[in-house]
Amino acid sequence: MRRRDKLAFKLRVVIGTLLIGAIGFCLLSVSLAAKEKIIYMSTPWGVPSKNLLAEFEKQTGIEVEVTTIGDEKALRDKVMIATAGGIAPADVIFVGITNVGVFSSGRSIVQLDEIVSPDLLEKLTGADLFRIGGYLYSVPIYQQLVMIDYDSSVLEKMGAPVPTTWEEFTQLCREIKQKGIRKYPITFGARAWSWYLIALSMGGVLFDEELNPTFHQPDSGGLGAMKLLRDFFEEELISAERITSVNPHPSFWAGEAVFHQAWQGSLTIANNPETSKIAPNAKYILLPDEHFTWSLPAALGISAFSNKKDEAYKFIVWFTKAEIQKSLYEAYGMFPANKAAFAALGEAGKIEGFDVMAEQARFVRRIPYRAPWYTEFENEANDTIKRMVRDQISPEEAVGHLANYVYELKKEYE
Amino acid sequence: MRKRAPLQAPSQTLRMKIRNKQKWQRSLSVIIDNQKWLAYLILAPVVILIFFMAYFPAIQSFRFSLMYYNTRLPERIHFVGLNNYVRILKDPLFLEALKRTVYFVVIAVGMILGIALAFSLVLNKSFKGRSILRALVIVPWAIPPVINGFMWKWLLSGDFGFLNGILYQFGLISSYKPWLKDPFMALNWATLTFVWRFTPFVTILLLGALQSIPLELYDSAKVDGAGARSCLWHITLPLLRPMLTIALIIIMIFAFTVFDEIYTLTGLDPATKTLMMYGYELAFEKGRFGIGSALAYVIGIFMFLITYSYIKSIYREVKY
Amino acid sequence: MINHQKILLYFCIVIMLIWSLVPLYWLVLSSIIPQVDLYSIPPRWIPTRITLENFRSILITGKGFRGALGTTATELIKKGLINSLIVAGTTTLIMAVAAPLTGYVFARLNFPGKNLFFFYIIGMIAVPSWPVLIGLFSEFSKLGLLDTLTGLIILSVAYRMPFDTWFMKGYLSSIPTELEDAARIDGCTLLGAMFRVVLPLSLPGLMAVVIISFLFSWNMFMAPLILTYTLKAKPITVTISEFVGQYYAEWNLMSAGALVAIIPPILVALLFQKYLIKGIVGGAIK
Repeated sequence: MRRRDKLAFKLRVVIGTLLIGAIGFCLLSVSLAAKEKIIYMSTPWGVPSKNLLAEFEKQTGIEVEVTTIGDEKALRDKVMIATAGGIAPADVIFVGITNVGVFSSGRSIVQLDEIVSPDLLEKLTGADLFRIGGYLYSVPIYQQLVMIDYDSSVLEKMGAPVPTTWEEFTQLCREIKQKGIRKYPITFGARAWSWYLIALSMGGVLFDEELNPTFHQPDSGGLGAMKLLRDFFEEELISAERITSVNPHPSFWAGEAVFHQAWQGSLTIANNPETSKIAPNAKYILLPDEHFTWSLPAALGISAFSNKKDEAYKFIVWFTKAEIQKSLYEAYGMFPANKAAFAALGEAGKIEGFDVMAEQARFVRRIPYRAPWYTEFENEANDTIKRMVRDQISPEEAVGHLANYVYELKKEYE
Repeated sequence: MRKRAPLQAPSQTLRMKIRNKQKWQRSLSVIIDNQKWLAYLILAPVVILIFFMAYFPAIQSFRFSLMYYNTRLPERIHFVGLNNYVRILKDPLFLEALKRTVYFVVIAVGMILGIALAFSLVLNKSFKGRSILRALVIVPWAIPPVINGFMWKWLLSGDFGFLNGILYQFGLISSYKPWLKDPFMALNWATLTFVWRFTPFVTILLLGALQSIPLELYDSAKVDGAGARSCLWHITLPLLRPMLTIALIIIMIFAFTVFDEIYTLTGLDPATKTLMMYGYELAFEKGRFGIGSALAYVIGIFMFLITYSYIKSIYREVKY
Repeated sequence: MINHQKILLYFCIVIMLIWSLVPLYWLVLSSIIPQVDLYSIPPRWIPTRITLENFRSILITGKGFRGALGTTATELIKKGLINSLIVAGTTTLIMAVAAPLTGYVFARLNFPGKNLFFFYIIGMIAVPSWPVLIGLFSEFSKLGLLDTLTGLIILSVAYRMPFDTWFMKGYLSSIPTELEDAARIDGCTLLGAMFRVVLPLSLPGLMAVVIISFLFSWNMFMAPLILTYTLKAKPITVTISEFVGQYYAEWNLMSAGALVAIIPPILVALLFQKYLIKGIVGGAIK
C-alpha cells in the first residue's frame, strides 16, 4: 500500500512537472512566434536578396516572408481573390502600375496618406503616378520607361545606320531577314504592350483627357500601329511563337532577334554574359518617328486587410533606401525611384545607354492605368490583338471593337 | 529485494468499474451491430466534410450567380436575380466557347474510343511482353495534366520542337512551322493533348470488358466459318456496347472540364477558350464573380445531365 | 494467314509503343543532351553526349530569377515535391481507411435514406469547380486553412470521396455475402465481419482505389493554385508551372523540372499497374 502511494505520488509529481514544462514551453513559443513577421507578395523582379532581408530582420526584428508570383497578372488574380474573400494575401503587396487602378477601386490596398511621410515621397520619383483621386495608394520603388533595345553587332555587320522612322525600321528588318542573318528580327509579343509601343511612338495618343478612346480614329497612331503590328507578323518578321508565348525577352537574350521591346535598365541583363548571349552588344534605340513611350513603374502597397500595417510600412521605408534600390538595379535592371540613388548610379557611370535614356525620357505619355476598368481593357486588347495577328479580324475591326469595349466599360463603371 | 503485492479481492470501486465497462461495451455493440447506427456513424463525418468542401461553397457561389459581383467595384454588389444567366446565354463569347467545347468533346470522344478500342483489342491477344506493354501504355494517364500541357507545348514549339524536328528530318517539311498559330489547329492540338493522356484509362476499361467475353463464342463462330472481321462486328462490338457507353460518358465528363492542360498549353488564348477557360477568365481575370458563377452553373447543369444519364445507363446496362 | 495477323499485331504493338512513349522520350532527351545538340535543326535524336547539368542546375545550384535573386528553382522543386508527397500520401492513407468503410455502408447495410446519402456523395461530382473555389477560399481563410497542407489534404480527401465510395461499393457488392453471414452466425458483430472477412477479400479493389487516389491528388492543380501562396503548401504541380513561367525558353531546364515532377506518379503507376488494372477492370464493370 505504502509503496503504491509513494509511486502514485511520484507519478503525480512527474506529470505535474511535465505539464508545467509543457505550458511554459507553449507560452514561450507563443511569445517567440509573436516576433513580428510580415508577408511580402511580389513578382520575381521585385525581390531583394536573402542577405538584405536578413539584415532587415536584424535591424528591426521583423521577419519577412517573400512569396513570389510569376507575373503581374497572376499576382493581380491572387490579390483580387483574396480581397473577395476578405483576407490579406500579404501585408506588403508589389503594385505594378498596371494594377494600381484595380487594387485601389477593389479596396485591396489602403490609402497611404496618413501613414507615409511627405519627406519620403520627396526622395522618390513617380509618387504621382500612384495617386488616384488625389489619394496615394503605394510608394514607388522603381521607375521604368518602355524602350527598344537591339543587337548592335548585326547592324554593324550590315553597315546599316540606326533607323529613325518606322519605315526605315521595317525596311531594315526585312533586309536582315532576307539576308538570312536572323530569321525573326523583331521580338515583340502579340499583346497590348507592343501595340502601345508602336502607337505612342507614331505620335498617337490612344486616350483623350476624359479617357475616351482615340485610337480607332482613321489617322490616329492607334490604327496605324495595329496595321504595322499585323504586317510584322504577316511578313514573319516576328516569330509566330510570340502569339502563344508572349514574353519577348528570352528570345532576345538567346540571340534570336535583333530588336526587342525592353525597359529602361534592361541592358543590365542584356549585356551580362551570364544571362544573355548577345552581350556586350545590346544598345538602346530612341523610339522611331515621334519617339513617345510610356512608363511602367512599380510601387509597394499595404493590404487593406493586414493587421501589421506599421511593420509593413517599416519594410516599405527600408525598401526605398539607396542600398536596396541599387541592389534591385544590379539584379534586375530596375531603376531606383530613389532620386539620390539614381543620380549616384548615373555619376558612377553604371547606367548604360544613359544618353539615349535621357533623351527618351523627354517623350513620355500616360496610359490610363488609374481607371478601374483598365485591366479588363488590357485583357481584351491582348485577346483582340491575338485574333488580329492570326488574321481573324482586320486592324480596323480590332480598334473598332476595342473602342466599343471601352465605351461599355466606362458606362458600367460610371 | 522487491516483493510482489499479494492478489487481493477486487475492491468496491474496481467492481463498479468492470460493470460500467460491460455496459459501455454493450451499448457500443448495439451501435456497431445495428445497421442503421453503424451506417450513420460512418457516414456522419463524410457528410459533414462534403457539405463544407463542396455543397456549402456551391451554395455561396450560387448566391453570387444571382448578384452583380464585380470585384473592382465591391460597393456595387447587388441582387440581380436570373439576369446573369440571361446575359451569359446571350453572350456571343459564351456561344463561341460552347462551340469550341462541343467540338473538343466530340473529337475527344471519337478519337479516344477509336484508339482505345484498337489498343484494347491488341492487348487482349496473348503475346510475349504483353504485361510490359500494358504497363507502358498506362503511363500517359499518370502524368499530371499541367505537365502534359507543358510537354506538348514544347513538343509543338515552332523554334526547336520535336514535331518540327521529326518532320524536317524525314523531309516532310522544308522549314519549321508554328503549329499553334492557326486557331483551329491550336484547338485540335489541345484536343490531342487531352486524348493522349486520357486514352489509357479507357483502354483498360475496354480491355476489362473484352476479357469478360467468353472465348467459346469466338470458337463457335470460327467453326461456322466467320472471319476476323465479322467476329469483331457481330460478337465483340455488341458485347462491348455497355462498356463503350460508360466510357463515352466518362470521357464526356472529363473532356468538358479540361482546364490544366489548356492553361499550360495556350493559356487564355482565344483560340482554345473552352467553357471552362472562359469561365475562369470571367471569374478570376475579369474579377466578375457574378457572371462567372452563373456560367459555372450553366456548365454544371450540363454536367449534371450527363452524370444523371451516366448513372441511369449503368443501372440499365446492369439489367442488360 | 497466321503470318499476316502476326505482322499486323506487331505493327500495332510498335505503333502503341511509339504513341505512348515518344512524347516522354522527347522530354527525357531535352533534359539530358547539351543545349547545342538540342537547339539544332533538326536536333540530335540519339544522344552522343549526355549531360546531367540541367538536373544539377535545378536541383542543386538553382539560379534565381534571371540569374539573380528571389526563390531559386531548387527551392521550388524540392519544396514542391515534399508538399506533394505529404498531401498525396496522407490523402491516400486516409482514403485507404475511409473508402472501404463507406463502400461497405452502401454495399451491405440497409438504412433509411440510403439512396439519398449515396446520391449526396456522388452528386459532388456535378458541383462545378472554380466558383466553388471562391467560396472555398473565404471558408478556408476563416478556418485558417489557407496556404496549409492540412487544408489541401482535407480538400483532396473530399474530392476523392465520390469516386472511391462508388468504386468500393461496386467492388464490395460483387463479393458474395455467404462468408459474412457465416461469420455473423459465428458471433461476429457487423463491424467485426467487415474487418475480418470483407476487407481481406476486397484488397485488390482497395489497392486500385489507393493508387488512383494517390495519382489524382498528386495531379491536383487548380485548387492548390488558388488556395496556396507560399512554398509552405504549394505542391509540385503549382511550383512547376511557376518554374516554367520564370525560366521561359530554357526548355532544357524546364524539361528537367517537368521530369522530376512526373517521376513519382509514373513510378507509382508502373509499379502498381497490375492492381490498378485489376481494380479498374473489376470495379468498373460492376
